[in-house]
Amino acid sequence: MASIRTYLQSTIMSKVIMALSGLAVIGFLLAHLAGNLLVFGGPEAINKYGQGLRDLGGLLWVLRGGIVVAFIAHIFTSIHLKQRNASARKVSYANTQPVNSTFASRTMLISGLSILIYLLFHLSHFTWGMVSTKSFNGSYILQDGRIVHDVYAMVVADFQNPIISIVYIVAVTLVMFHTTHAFSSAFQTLGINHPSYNGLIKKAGLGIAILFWIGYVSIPVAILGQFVK
Amino acid sequence: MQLNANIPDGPIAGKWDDHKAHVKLVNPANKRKFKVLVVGTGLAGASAAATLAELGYDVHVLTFHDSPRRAHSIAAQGGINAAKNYQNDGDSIYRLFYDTVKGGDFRAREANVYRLAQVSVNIIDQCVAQGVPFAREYGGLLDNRSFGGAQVSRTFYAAGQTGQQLLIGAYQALMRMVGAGKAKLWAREEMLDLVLVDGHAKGVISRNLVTGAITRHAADAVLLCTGGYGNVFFLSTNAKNSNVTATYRAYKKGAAFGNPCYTQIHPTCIPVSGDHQSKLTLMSESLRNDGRIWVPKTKGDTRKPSEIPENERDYYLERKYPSFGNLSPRDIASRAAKQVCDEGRGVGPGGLGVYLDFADAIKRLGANVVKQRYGNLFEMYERITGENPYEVPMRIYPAVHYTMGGLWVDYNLMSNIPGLHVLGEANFSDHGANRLGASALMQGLADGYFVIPYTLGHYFASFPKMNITTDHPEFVKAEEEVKGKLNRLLNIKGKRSVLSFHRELGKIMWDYCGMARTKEGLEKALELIPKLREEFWQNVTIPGSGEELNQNLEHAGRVADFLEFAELMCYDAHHRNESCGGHFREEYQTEDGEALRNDEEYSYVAAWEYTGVGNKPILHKENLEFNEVKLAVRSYK
Amino acid sequence: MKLKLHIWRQKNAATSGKMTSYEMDNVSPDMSFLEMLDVLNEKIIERGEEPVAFEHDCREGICGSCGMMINGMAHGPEKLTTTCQLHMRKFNDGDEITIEPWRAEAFPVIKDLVVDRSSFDRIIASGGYVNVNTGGVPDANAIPIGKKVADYAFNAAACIGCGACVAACPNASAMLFTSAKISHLGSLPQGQVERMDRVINMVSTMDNEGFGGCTNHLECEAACPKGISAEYIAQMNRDMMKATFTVR
Ligand SMILES: Cc1cc2nc3c(=O)[nH]c(=O)nc-3n(C[C@H](O)[C@H](O)[C@H](O)COP(=O)(O)OP(=O)(O)OC[C@H]3O[C@@H](n4cnc5c(N)ncnc54)[C@H](O)[C@@H]3O)c2cc1C
Ligand code: HEM
Ligand code: FES
Repeated sequence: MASIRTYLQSTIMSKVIMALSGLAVIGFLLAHLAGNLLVFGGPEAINKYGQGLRDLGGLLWVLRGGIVVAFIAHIFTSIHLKQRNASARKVSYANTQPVNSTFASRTMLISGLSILIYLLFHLSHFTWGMVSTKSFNGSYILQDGRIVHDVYAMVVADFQNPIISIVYIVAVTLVMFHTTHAFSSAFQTLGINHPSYNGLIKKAGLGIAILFWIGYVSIPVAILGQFVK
Repeated sequence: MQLNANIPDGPIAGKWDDHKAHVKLVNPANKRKFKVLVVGTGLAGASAAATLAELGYDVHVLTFHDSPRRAHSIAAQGGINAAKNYQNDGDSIYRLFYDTVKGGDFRAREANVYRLAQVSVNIIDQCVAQGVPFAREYGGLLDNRSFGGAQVSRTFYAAGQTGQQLLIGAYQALMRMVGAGKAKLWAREEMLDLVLVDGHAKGVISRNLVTGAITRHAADAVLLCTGGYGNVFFLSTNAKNSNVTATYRAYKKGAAFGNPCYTQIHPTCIPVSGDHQSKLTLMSESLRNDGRIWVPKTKGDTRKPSEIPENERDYYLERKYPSFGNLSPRDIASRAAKQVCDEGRGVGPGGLGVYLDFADAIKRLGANVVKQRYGNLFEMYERITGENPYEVPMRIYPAVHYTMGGLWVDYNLMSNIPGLHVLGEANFSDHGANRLGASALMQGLADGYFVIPYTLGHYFASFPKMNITTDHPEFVKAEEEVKGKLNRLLNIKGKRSVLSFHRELGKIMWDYCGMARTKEGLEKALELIPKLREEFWQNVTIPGSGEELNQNLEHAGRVADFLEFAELMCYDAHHRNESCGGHFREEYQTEDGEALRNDEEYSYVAAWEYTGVGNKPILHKENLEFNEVKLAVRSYK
Repeated sequence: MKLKLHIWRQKNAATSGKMTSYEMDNVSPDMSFLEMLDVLNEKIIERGEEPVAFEHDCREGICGSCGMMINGMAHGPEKLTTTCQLHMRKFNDGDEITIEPWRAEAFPVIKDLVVDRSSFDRIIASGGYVNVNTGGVPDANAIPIGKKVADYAFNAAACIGCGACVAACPNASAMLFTSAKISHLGSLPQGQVERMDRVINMVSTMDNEGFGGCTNHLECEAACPKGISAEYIAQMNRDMMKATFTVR
């Protein structure tokens, strides 16, 4: 008998890691979305929320650490699996007719990697402030008098740039695609498959994917459309 | 030639136990020194190989299939009999024994059949322990059905794929031994000759079907579990690659061939649809429970079935056999179909078919019930014929299905060549002149799991170990012969394909040695076969070489053997001046056209000895004694 | 019917192959796909060339020997049907048909359409059995098994080992095959004793044979001629998760 480490490297356990980390990312994206939508509540709401997060202190770092680990695990495992899968069929068919697979399921790595590239941009933009230092360094005075980072102004200012917005919308669309397959797939991977609730899982996956799209896209659209200024 | 059946003394019910208690044993520590070659991985071969490896023998298994799981046993649909009496309907070992002897038209060896019925019980236990998913009732116990006209429900089944489930069970048991390094598997390896040393079977020569490499295998005993030879008719329900080569080449080395002419024809197969036809598909006999069989009353009636009024239809089975009707036994139903087609009243392409009509059943039971009972069979029929049996009557025709004949073996399953054991459909079997439904699976597994493990040790312990190696001159000679034959085949470079010869031979056999045989017909066949064989050896063409995967070369070798073996079948059918079970001679029938046995003169096993290609073989007889059952006429009126 | 066939021709494992085209006319709609190839082969032999090698035996859809990619679908366009049971009436006059072997590194091509599927046998040999010797087993009715469980196990055991799941899977994964055996045995009382070891061993052999992983495309389910459900893959995943943390 080999060790638990080798079992974890098996195709199945690798997929379990994919599923768990992917679901963690989906969870993060849901929370992130809830926070982002506060932009519609005006500067006070979102800036207060932003400060609230920072006030978590150590806990925030734990959460950040968790999500980073999930991402790294997800990305590395996906590449490891992709290599395996590619080497499992080196000569491809002259003709293939997909029946059950979907465009989304067949392009998981491409959508995933594109998301990764965008993510780096996104982080350097909004988290590390490397894209536009001017808007990143603004500050805002909360009603309780505290001076905090002006997330609202930064978001509004940057999304007024149509290029940034369009890139963002494309990335969100990819997230949507990725999620349509990812969510139900994760359940199957985790062994959760039963005719009585498979339909529900499928629908939930689709629902979350659409929610992501509408939710995230609404922000740049609202800003470009001058609904949020 | 010596034929000693070695039947143990004593009352029939105690023979097997007594024999087991007295056979010689091999010391457990010594078993690994005995190498056993098992050829074939069907039910018989896989079960034997697995069990012998468990016991500690050094087992080597050969199969021409790419995996042991693909052996022809996989195709059995109906079920497997066992005298468990789980249904409390009066079944017993004796009753199964009696039914089998009677069903075989009193041409089987009582002692073997009794043992078969005894161990049938263990087979089911064994299979269940392996995880074979037999059908069950809601309470969790095993379900049974009555099959092939039996009066008790003793057939265990797994939906329509009993053979597959049993074979997978045996295959898994074998692969477990392969995984443990206790058995060595030689897949895609075809046995092409048997090697005898000092009269004992001590190995085989095989060809690897991918590389063409010829290998000599030396062993302490050889087990042939190579299945039946129904494909001598070209069209049969057997898998395409089933063949007679292994047993026939053993026959050429001196093994006696028992009852080659006994062939079972199954009445409910899908008819031939054209010249391209490559095999025939069996449909479960259960269809006859609700379907009514008929043909038009007038010859050459080409109207659609729906346009033929009731009073112009001939429900011939119901007419001739009022009490059994559409459920008459296989041989009777088959012959009746042939008769009406010979009269020109057959339906469908070529007039070779009869209707199996569900219109009444649908009226009586409703389409839903019919669908529940036969839905998957109807689907299969529609897939193959493109016709919807809910609307148009099915067309069926009899087809060759099983061969009761095979290499002669004694009670220990050893042929007249010491060390050569024969199991499953390949031996001349416990089924006499006709096999009952669901009994072949039983026999294959009985031989492999529960008989050979006891009797093989007896052979080893009875003779001094020979320790032959493959350098022995007999191996060198056998290998040269095999290579010579392959080269000869490859070098003919004629004009006709192997397939065309096989088709032609099949037609000769079907016409003259098929469902109904006559003296003249058989003589005609004995004239035609050698001619065809001669043409084959002059005019066959085999593209490609022998050092690669060459399916035509494989096929050619098999057809070459069929072309010799067919003659043997005809000789046997010709000499047996009676009708019994699967052998029907038109000259020997009652006034109503029923088979007329001749117990006085033919109550024996015909075991044939080879005397050279084209020569008439020598007949040896093993007389059959019936002490437990009284010989009676089968009547299904 | 007239047809144009594009068939993969490859002399042996060592050489590379290519698609070759053949014209067929007079194809009867009643022929099975393999009978159509038989007729083609007779013609090829007549021309003195080497016929197309393809595997087949029972021609009844149960032995699992036959199998080829027909127009990009494992066993062709008809659902729940093996190549040998596919009939030409499913095609139209004038159709072009591409015919390729199963493609997977774990199924190396031997010749033309014939591939080596012995990796499946090795997966079974590594644990696809119940460890019982012949003899000495309890009476068959000593272990009652509910009909639902029995049917569930049976549906998994219906696998014929044809390899269509691997062929159809974009990752050439053998999950459906392996899970069918693991679930067949793992859902029966007889298979409980070794359930955890079995999944560990069979999955590790499956991985070592070079099959891909599962992305849940479910192409396997669509291609399986016996309709085996991906539910069994989920069961295997559950067992594997449990085994990972319990087997030592
Ligand atoms: C369609 C059909 C349905 C049937 N249904 C039933 C049923 O419901 N109940 C029942 O009891 N019986 C049934 N039978 C009969 C039964 O299936 C067979 O008689 C039985 O399975 C034969 O088993 P076997 O082990 O003797 O041979 P097989 O299963 O035929 O195996 C032969 C083996 O020998 C190997 N072999 C042969 N020659 C060579 C060689 N030269 N070199 C190397 N290997 C070789 C093959 O590769 C194969 O592994 C049915 C038969 C058919 C055709
Ligand atoms: C935005 C973030 C992401 C989310 C929400 C997410 C989510 C998921 C989930 C839940 C799965 C399903 C796992 C399973 O099938 O069991 C999955 C699969 C996958 N993800 Fe992501 N993922 C994200 C980003 C990425 C990134 C950046 C990559 C890039 C490498 C990636 C590559 C993949 C791949 C390739 C699969 C399929 C796994 C396989 O083939 O086995 N994902 N993803
Ligand atoms: S030839 Fe047996 S399944 Fe097709």
